Amino acid sequence: MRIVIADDHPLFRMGLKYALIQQGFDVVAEASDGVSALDACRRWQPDAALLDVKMPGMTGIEVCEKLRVLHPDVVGVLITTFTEPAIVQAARAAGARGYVSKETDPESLARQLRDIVAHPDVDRLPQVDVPRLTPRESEVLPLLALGYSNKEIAKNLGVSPDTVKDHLARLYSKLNAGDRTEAVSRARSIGLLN
Amino acid sequence: MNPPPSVPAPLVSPRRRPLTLRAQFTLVIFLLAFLPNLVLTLSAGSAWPLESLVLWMALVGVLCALIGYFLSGALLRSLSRLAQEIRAGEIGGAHADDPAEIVALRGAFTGLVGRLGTEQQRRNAFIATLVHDLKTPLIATGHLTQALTTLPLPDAERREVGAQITQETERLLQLVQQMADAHRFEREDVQVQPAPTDLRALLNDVARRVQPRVQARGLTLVVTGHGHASVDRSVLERAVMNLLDNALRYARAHIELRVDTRGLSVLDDGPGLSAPLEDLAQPFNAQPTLIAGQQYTSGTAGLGLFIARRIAEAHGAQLTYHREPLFPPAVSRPASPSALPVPASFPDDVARSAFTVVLPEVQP
Repeated sequence: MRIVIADDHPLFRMGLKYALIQQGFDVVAEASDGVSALDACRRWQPDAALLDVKMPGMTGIEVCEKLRVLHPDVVGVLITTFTEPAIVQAARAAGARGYVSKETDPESLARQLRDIVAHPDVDRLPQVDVPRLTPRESEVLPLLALGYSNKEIAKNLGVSPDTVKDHLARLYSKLNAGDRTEAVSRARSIGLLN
Repeated sequence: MNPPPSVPAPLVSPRRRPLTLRAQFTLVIFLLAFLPNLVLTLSAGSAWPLESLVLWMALVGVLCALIGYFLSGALLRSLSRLAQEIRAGEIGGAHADDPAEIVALRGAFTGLVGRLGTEQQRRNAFIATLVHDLKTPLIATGHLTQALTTLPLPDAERREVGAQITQETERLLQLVQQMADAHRFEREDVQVQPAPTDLRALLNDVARRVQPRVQARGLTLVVTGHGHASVDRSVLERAVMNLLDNALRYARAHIELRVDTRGLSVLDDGPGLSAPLEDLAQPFNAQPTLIAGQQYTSGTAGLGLFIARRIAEAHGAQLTYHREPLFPPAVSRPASPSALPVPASFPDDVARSAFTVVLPEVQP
């Protein structure tokens, strides 16, 4: 199986290359940033591209998005230390076929890669539990993130401060948060806030 | 739902728990209003029957208690409002009717919350450094060690892998040292033992030590100027090394180490700082990364700058930063011309970054 690997950390790239070679993969190209990764995929047409999420220029997620359009036969798989649900969500939306931890041992990584390439249509990305907000709660959340007080939120939405207080209580509960700072932080991490 | 923040145990047993501030105020106002009434009524004597007198005093008592209750509420309104805001975790700006003491208290709480926020950010940056900056190379080292021990690699490749592991290990050690230094210097002053020092010789030594990195990156490094000052040479060298480390990472082509009457400067033609020096030269600054439209903490930035700043401060000096047009500097010959190549000229169409440890007194 032909693989392109992309990571901005040279030592990790080297380690990953040898780990994959040891597992019988053919690492046809390496890239240190998103643009080079895309270029390598165009040039080598590999079975899969193993992409770091955080890379200079273009993230692995953006590369997946481009691959889906420009080289749909190349399976984009993300390899990362990030576990934030919002990133997983974005990866899924970008068409990533796999999302593996950098800590995955070589045997397990090889098994997962073979499964992903053999059945690229199966959704293997981690499932993210995102709470469902009511339309009003969805309106309150961005104002909360802007640091507005209850009175200011109430004025913006044309409701009473007590109503805002009720919405906030429900938001805290849904987001498993103790206060507004934590609520905003959780909402960001699971992709409810842009 | 997260557990509520823990509240310290009261110093008195629950049975003897003092009344609320409002109850105490109410009681004081009640006593101040009621007792004179009682004394006056009793001392003046009265033609009223005893029952009427008791009833009257009870009525006065109730009125005094009500006045005390409402008056204490009015007096403590600002304090109660602040307590409510603190409980809700949203301390707003001062209100028009806030007395000076409450305004001060409000300011103190806002400052405290700000400091807690900063501490939280630093902790996140610290953890992110552990996760992203240290974990990734450690995982890679594991893969490479396995490759070295199990794959039949050619000798040249084996040496290359070994060299990479050694280089990365040195970088990680340096990072861990910086993290430890930053943690220490955040809490205590840097200890220095100043002595008369030839600053040019100090810079020449530093330049010699980084020559392999200069050559590996194809850069030119020059040392210029002369000066003497009373400094702790080994400690100040660390500050220069931290500044030079950034320059070696980001310079496009040229680095200059300069001594002049202001102090020691490290100049490079890199892109410059992404934020003001005073923001970056802090311990454990969160380094944001933009992924899918969101900012994530992916490590720490400015550790070296923070350490350099603290070392400068320990010398009664300060660390400054500015951008200046890149012009051909008055290049003087370095201590070892073969080790420190002198460029023929510098391009003059770009700006360069200048970090300066501004020393209190530099003798030519």
